[in-house]
Amino acid sequence: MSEFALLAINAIFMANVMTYFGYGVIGLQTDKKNFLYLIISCATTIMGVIIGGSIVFALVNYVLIPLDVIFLKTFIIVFISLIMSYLSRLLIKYTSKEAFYLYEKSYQFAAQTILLVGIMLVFDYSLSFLIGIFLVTMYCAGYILVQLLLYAIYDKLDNAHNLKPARNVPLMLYTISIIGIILSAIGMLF
Amino acid sequence: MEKKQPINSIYLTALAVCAVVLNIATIYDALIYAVVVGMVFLIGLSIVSMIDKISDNHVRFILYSLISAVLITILKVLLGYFENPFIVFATENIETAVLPTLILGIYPIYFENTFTTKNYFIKIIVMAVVWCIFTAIYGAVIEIVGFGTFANMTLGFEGLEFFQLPYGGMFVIATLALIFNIIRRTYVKRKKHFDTLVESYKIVIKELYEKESISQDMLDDKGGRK
Repeated sequence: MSEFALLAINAIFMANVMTYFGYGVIGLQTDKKNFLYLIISCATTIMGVIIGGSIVFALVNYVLIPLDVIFLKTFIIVFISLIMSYLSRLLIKYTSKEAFYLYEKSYQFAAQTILLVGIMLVFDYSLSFLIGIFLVTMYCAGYILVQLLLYAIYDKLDNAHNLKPARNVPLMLYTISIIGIILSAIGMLF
Repeated sequence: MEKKQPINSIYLTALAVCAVVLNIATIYDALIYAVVVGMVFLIGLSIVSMIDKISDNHVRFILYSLISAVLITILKVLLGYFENPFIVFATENIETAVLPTLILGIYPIYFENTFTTKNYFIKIIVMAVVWCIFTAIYGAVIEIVGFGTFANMTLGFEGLEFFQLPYGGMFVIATLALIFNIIRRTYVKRKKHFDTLVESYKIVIKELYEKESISQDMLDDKGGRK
């Protein structure tokens, strides 16, 4: 199997950004009752990760490391992630009014920023640019996979037939834990 | 625009712990993350509270994120001077502490309607304390069940491998969120019951006062009936 295929399997199934790293879990709490909105938010997240990741990669390798100020990496990542999230917000604003209404109703801006920061922190800046960007895109693919798997249960989380305190987040985390084990097992098959 | 429904703060704390599920394996890691995140959360929100009511939620979140990033960068540099092996190991990926800080900040920034000026600081302190307790318990449980040790002392059994993995960590977080939520709901129910009692007593006292004033009106200056 080629190096890229192995990287993709690892990033999507075994080291999934949602079930393994736990970074994107906050994104499941925002309003995702509309399928089109889910697709739009995921697309803007991918765009933000690829563009933002490229900028951070260039800054780290060509500015921070030569100037020996690598400790500023966290600040740069947060700053670029905020810019990317804001650009995504503008894009949604001028693309679809319905999607923008849902975007503003929930705290998608914060959730997207947190996901971008998380993925960029995981990013290994010593890799080559092509492999790095490919890996980051695969992390996004893993995020979308879990989002799609959990899309059907968004509405049911508050109405499950179990103890009231166990509804919503505890139930969601148990589900993610099980999905994580299954994805990891699938990844091991390859 | 429709009014936003406040998210349960316990759930938000659980999601914040999820973001550092890979970095916490012992009680020491948990305590360091608890203190760092708690401190940055309190300082960041205290500064951002200055522009409450006069700026957009997103602007406040941007400012809060930048302050958190700066504070964590400073803390990472400062913690680099410690030579204690536990601190060195725990602070290896301390920059990930920015994620729980940002997640915890969502509640006071996006649901500021639930925060009044009077109880703002008390509420964020309560949130920081709950975060610290939650993280410390999570760290302790993972160390005991996952590794069979507590504060690096062996407990005489080998841990379960499942709890060393993030999936096991999420399982523990979900269970802790459930327990904390039961406690929260009990407290909220009792408080509601107490508030209802206070209101009913207020009505009874008001009625008594009204009766008293009527009977006073029926008497003349010398205390006899008019």
